[in-house]
Amino acid sequence: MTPKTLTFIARSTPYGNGRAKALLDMVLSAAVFDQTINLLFMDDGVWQLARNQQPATIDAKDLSAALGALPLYDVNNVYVEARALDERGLTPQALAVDAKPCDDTEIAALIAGSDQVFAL
Amino acid sequence: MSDLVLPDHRRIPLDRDGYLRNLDDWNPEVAEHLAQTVSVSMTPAHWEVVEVLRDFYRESGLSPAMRPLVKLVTRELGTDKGRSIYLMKLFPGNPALLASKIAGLPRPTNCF
Amino acid sequence: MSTLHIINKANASQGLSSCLRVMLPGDGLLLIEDGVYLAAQLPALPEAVRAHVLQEDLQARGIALPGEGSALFTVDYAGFVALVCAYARSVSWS
Repeated sequence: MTPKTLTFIARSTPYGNGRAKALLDMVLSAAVFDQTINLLFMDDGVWQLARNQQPATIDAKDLSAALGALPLYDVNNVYVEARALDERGLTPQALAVDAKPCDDTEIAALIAGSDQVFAL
Repeated sequence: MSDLVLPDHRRIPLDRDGYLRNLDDWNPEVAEHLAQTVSVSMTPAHWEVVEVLRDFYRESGLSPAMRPLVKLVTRELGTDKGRSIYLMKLFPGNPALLASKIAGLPRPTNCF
Repeated sequence: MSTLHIINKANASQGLSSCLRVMLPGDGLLLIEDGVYLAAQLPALPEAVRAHVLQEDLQARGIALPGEGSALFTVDYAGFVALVCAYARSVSWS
C-alpha cells in the first residue's frame, strides 16, 4: 500500500465538545498505518495549542499534553494558521507544541498536496 | 470479562477486554495479578517498561500502540530495549496491548 | 488537481470564510444541509471558483432556488455525487 498524504485540520476548541479529541484520535490512528500526515491548526483550533492548560479542573484529559507526544507517532508536520493566532492574541513562541506558522497560500498548497483532508 | 479477584478476595473491576475499569485501582500487586491474566511473569525488565508506560500516560494521557511504544522505550531505556523483538520476548503476542494492560492504562485505541 | 470545499453549517463566520481564504483557482464550493442558508448571502468568490448548492436541501428548508444569472449552480443528489467524483479531494468545513 503506497502511503497517502493525509491532512487533518483542527478547527475546534479543545474542551467545548468532542471534536478536538476525535480529530486527535484520527491522527494517531492514521499515524499507526504509516501514512504521511500533516496536522494543521486553524480558526478556534489554535486554542488547542494554548500553554498551561489544566483541564483536570473540569475533569477532562489534557489534549495539549497528548499533542506533545506526536513526534513519538512520527507526526512531525505540524502547522498553525498565523492569522488565527494573531486574531486571538497568541504567538507562535507561546504555544504548548512546536507548530510551523503558515499563511493562506501555504494552507492552500497543503490541501492541494493531500490525498485526503479531514477538518473537524 | 469479570472482576480481578485478589488473594484477599478484594475485587478489582475490569472492562470486557480485561483492562482496569478504574485506573486508580492500580498498584504493583494489582499489576502482578493483571500480568498473570495474560500469562506474563513480572521481572525487573518487565517492571521498567511498565514504569515507562505509566510515566508516559501521566504526561500525555495516551496508551501507545506498538510503534510509538518502541520509540518511547528507545527514548527512555535505550536502543537495546527499544526494539520490537525485545518487547515481544517480554510481552509475547502483542506488547502494546499486554504492557498497557499490566501498567493499568486504558486499551490502546488504535491497536489491533 | 482541485478540491471541492463543502459547507454544511449556516455559520458563515467560521467555515465559509476560512475556506474562501484558502481556495485555489479551479476549486469548487458546495453548500449542503444548513450550509444552504448561506446561498442568499454568499460573499464574492475567489477567481475561477464554481459554487453549487444542493437543491433538495434548499427545498427542504423553503429557500428559493437561485435565479437566472446567479453565481450558484443548483445540483441534485446525483449531481452531488458527480461533483465529489470530479474533484481530486473534498474538504468538509463543518
